[in-house]
Order: sequence, then structure tokens, then C-alpha cells
Amino acid sequence: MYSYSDFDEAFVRSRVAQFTDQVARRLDGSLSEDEFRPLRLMNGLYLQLHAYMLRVAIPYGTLSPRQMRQLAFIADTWDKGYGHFTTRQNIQFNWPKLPDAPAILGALADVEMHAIQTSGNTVRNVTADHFAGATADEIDDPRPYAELLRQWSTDHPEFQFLPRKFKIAITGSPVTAP
Amino acid sequence: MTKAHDIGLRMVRNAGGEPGFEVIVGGGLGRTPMIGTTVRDFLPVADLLPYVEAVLSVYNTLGRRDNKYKARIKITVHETGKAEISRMIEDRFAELRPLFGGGDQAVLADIRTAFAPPAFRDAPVAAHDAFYRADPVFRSWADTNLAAHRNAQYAIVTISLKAHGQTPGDATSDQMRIIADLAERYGHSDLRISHEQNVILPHVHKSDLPVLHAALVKAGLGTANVGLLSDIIACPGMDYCALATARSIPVAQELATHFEALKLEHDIGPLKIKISGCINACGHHHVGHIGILGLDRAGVENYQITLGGDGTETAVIGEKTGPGFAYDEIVPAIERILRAYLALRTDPGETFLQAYRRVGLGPFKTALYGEIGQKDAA
Ligand code: SF4
Repeated sequence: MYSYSDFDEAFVRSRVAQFTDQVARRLDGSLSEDEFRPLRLMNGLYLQLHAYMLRVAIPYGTLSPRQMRQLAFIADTWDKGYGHFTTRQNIQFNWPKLPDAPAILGALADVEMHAIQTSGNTVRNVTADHFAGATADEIDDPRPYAELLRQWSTDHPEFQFLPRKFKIAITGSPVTAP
Repeated sequence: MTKAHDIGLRMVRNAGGEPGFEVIVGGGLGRTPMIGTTVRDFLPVADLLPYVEAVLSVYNTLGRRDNKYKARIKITVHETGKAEISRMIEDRFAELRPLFGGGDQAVLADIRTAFAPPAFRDAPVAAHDAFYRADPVFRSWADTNLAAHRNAQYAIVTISLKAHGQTPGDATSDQMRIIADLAERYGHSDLRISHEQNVILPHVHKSDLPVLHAALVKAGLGTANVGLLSDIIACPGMDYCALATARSIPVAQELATHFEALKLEHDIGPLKIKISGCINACGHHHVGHIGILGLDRAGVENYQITLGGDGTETAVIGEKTGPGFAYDEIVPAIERILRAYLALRTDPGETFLQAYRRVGLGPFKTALYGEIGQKDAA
């Protein structure tokens, strides 16, 4: 599977550092919830009915065993021992505490994962056939195109404030897996 | 699902046999469900980025910012019209295309090397075939949870995260670790998450399937229900979501346990039930064969049913059956629909969706509301 380039790595680490600082300022009261809200949403942190929720991107639904183990570690360390996989091939943690959010993002960065652009009016995680590269009726593997779109859309300066969220799906089979 | 996204890219071949994309724009569910519009029948693969950027660029300028409920590109496409928006996209594409200058194609070539197929094993599968014939539990799982792999010695395995009575899509940390181990041992270290909220092992040699299945069963991950009634998509609903007007997870759990007790789901066959806890439709109820939408009627949960939705390349938005049902009435209502289907299908091979397309809403309305009730429901 695709591995981060130095550029990807540096970008994700810098976003973790930036958000760590923002959380600290929220916790000491120098940022109000109104000021903090757009900042946390840029990092996939929602406020739900009972708690925060962190939505982590799983690009085109592809995951390595090492990444899956790290998700398990996060669930045990900072959540209630489980995670929720979503219809857009992401995972959501339903019970993180705000002070722990930077550490969680750091643990994700350790395995080349993040929560960037899982919220807000941006291009969201690109989804692809879950049978890509394996199914018999595929014209071509869609994942390289999905990865190209991921690189292009991540932090794209023109498309960080679209009128609304934007979702792209790609399939390599003319007949989609249901 | 390419017809229910802001941009759907569906790979096709042109008359010359070259691969490209059909570009579908402005699909989406939510409050105003729409099936996307094809703005390009064939886009050469090399033009992907400039074309997608052109779509985004047109939308960024044209999309409405005055009303968040009218801001998605589906509304932009609807209000602008197919001909005009296609022309604007093509104009912008003509400007952008020269700016890409092939740099993206070099990047793509580089990315491709990271997605080379795994080193497939060549080994006999006769023992697997014999086990399949001999063991009914394995066979039942294999029949629902496996899909054809391009390599005949291999299978694509779907691990169900829909054990009867569990929250659809949840996995415990122990299950995640077991899945990671199994992917390393039997699955060429590849894992996928499906939009149906299950986990996929895309490359498993058939000779490994019996031992893999046994390990999954031991971990509570061996449920043989992929594509069946209890393979339900449900949004978080009232259990988590601040916008919810009703519960959705408990409805999914009750449906799954009810039909498991009746031992009916294998007989019913392929069926997609999708449940949303409010009109934002995160549970994609519009494209469920049976869709359930939880609303709030004067402080009481009320569930509206839609039938005949389809999220595949033959995408259709489901039709409302009539008045909704209280929380306690929803499981019996779904059972009436499915008993009606079992009674009217031509043979066990006719799926719920096929039968629905043949007979329409009428017989199911009668099953739901009775002959008299149907008049009021119309
Ligand atoms: S559909 Fe479900 S998850 Fe989406 S906003 Fe409504 S209740 Fe929340």
C-alpha cells in the first residue's frame, strides 16, 4: 500500500503540533468554544450528544494490519475499547476527552493516519470499491487514482472553504459492488 | 454508490477499448436525495485531476452560500441545468488542463508501484472444496461472506461487523487486533473497510478459508449474514448524534435479533435495510431496499418506511409507503412486508428488490396498512 512521502509526513506532524497548541489554548480558556469550533472541526473533532467524537480518515478504505492495531491501541487507551466503522470507510471514536485529542492525533501520525478533512466544507476522504485490486470484473485498480485525488485535495488552498462538504467516490468496475 | 456522491467516477472503456471515467456530478442523499447527472460519458484517465478541479472550481464560484440546505453541488446542478453546468465545466477544464503539464501523471505512475498486486500463492484447493461440501456451517458462511476473486484459487472475504444484536459497524479493540493478525497470516496484510461497515480481507487463498473461518467464529466475527437482512446500515442516531430525531441503532439490533429468532433471513435472501435517525440521511435510507427514517412526531419517535431504493449503478430513490410507525410497531411492520414478499415471489431466486420492481408498492401497502387503511394512507 501507499506510504507517506516526506512531504505527507511533515504536513501531518505540523498539523498535530498546531492542534496541540490550539487545544492547550482552549483548555486554559484563551480560546472560546466559538473560536475553537472551526479549529477542531478542521481536525475531525466533533461535539456530539454526550461527548466529543473523533472521525479518522481511512483513505479509500485501505488499512494495514499495523494501522488496525494502532486503532485498537487508541480505542483501549483513550476511548472505551471499541471503534465504529462508518459508511464512508472512516472510523469514529465516540468517547475521546479533549485533553487527549492531541495524543490521539500523534498516535495516528505514527502509523501515517490523520483526521484532517473529515469535517468542514472541504473535499472529504475519497471512497473506492472495497474489492479494488481483487475483484474479477474490474477494468483497473481505482486506488492509485483515489490516492492521486487524496494528495491533490489535501490542504488544497482553493478548496478549504467550499459552499458545503464535498464527497468523491471512485470505482474501477462498471458494475459496482453493492 | 457513484451516483449518490458529489462526484462519482465510474471506470468504463470507450469504443477503442481504452479505460476512462464516466463522470457523474450532483448525486447525494440527505434532505434532498438526488441521483447524479452524467456530465461526461468518457474522460480519459490522464485528464482526471484537471477535470475534477474544473468541477470543484465551477461549484466553488456558483454554489450557494446563502442557505446551507441548498449549498451542496446537487442543488447547483439542479438549478443551473445539465447543459449549462456541463459547458461551464468544459470551459474551465480547457483552461486548467494545460496547467497540469503531465506532473500529475508522473506522480500517478509513482503511486501505482505502491499498489502492485501481492505475490499470489499457487497451491491446491481440493481440500477446501471437500470441506465446503462437508461442513454446513462453513458453507453457509462461504455462501454469504465470500466474493469471487480474479485469481480462481483465491476468495475475497467479508468479515461481518453485524453480529445479531450488536451495533452495526462497531469493532472492539480485541477484534481489531485479531483481524490484524488474521490479515497478516492469511490475507497478504491487506485490509479494507467497506461502506457497508464491514471489514474485507481482499486476498485469501481458498486453502486457508476453513482455518480462517474457525478463528473468526472464535472471535465472534463469524456471522454469516453479508448482504442479508441483518447486514444493516444504521446511522448513530439518538445514541450519539446531536441532530437525531429518533434512535436507529436499537431498531437495527431489534430487527436483527427478531429475524434471527425466526430463522428467516437466509430464506429471504439478498436484502438491504438502511436506517437513518433524522432527515440528514447518514444511514442512506433512501437507497435501502427497505429504508427506515426515524422522525419526531410531537416528542414521540415515528418511523417512516420507504421501499425499492437501490444504491448500485441502477440507482433509485425508494418510495414512501404511507404513514409512519411507532418504535414498538416498526419490527412487526417490517415483518409484514417480508411475509408479503415471501408469499408473492415467483420462486426463491426472485429477490426482494426484483419482486418489488415487478409488483410495485400496492401489495406491500396492503400488507402494512390493510385494505381499508390503504385508502387513508394513499
Ligand atoms: S442521519 Fe443519523 S447520524 Fe446523520 S445527522 Fe441524522 S441522526 Fe445524526
